Amino acid sequence: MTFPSFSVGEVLRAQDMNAVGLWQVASTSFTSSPGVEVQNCFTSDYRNYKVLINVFGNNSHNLQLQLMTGTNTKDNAATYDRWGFFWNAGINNFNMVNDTQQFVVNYFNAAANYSTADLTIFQPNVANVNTITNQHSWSGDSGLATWLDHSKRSNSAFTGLYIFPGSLGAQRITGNITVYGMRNS
Amino acid sequence: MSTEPLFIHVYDCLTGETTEREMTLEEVAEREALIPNAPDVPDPE
Repeated sequence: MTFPSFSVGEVLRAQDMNAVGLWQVASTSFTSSPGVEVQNCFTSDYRNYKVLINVFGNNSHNLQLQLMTGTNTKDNAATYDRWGFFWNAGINNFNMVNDTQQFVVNYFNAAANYSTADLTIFQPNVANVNTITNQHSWSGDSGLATWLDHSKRSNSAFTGLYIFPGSLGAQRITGNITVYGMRNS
Repeated sequence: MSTEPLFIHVYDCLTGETTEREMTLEEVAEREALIPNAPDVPDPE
C-alpha cells in the first residue's frame, strides 16, 4: 500500500483523512447534565462512525440514545430494536423491539465506577440503512458486566446524536463522548 | 413535569463550540413521554 504524505501547515480535508483511517469529528465532556447533544457529527464525509462514551450519574440509572436529524430534531419514532445478550455469572438473552430510544448502558453514581459504551453506527447519514452495534460495560458495585447488542432500522439520514438519562426528573450525567468517522473506501 | 430550568450540553461539530441550551417545554414533554417506553434493562446484579 502507499501511505499518504502531507506538507507542514497543509490543511487536511476529509478525503485526506480518509486515506489515514479514523478521524475524530467530535469530543466533548459534560457535567451533571440532563442530556447531551452532539450536532452535525454525521455527514457524507464518512460512512461509518465509532462512538465512545464514559459516563456516571448522580444516581444509578440507564443511559439512552436517540439519533437526530437537522440541527437537533430527535428521532422519536419507534425505530429502535434491540437484540443481544449480557453476561455476568451466566449468559442472558434479551430482545426488545419498537422502542423510541436506544438503551446504551447502565451507569452507577460515582466516577470511580464509570460505565463505558463502544458503539459502531453504520451509515447514519444514509436513509433506511442505519445499524447500531453496541458493546458496553457497567462497573457497578459488584464488578463488571458486559453486553453486546444490536439495533437496526431507520427511515432518515441522521446528522447527530442525543444521549440522556432514562428518567428526566433529577437524573444527571457526567462524562465524555467522542465520535470518530471511519474512512470511506 | 420538572419545573426548574434544564440545560442540555450541546457540542456542534460544524463550529467546534460547546454551549448549554435550556430545554424547551416541548423538549421536556418529549422526554417525559419517553420514560414509559424505557426498556426494562437487565441488571447485572
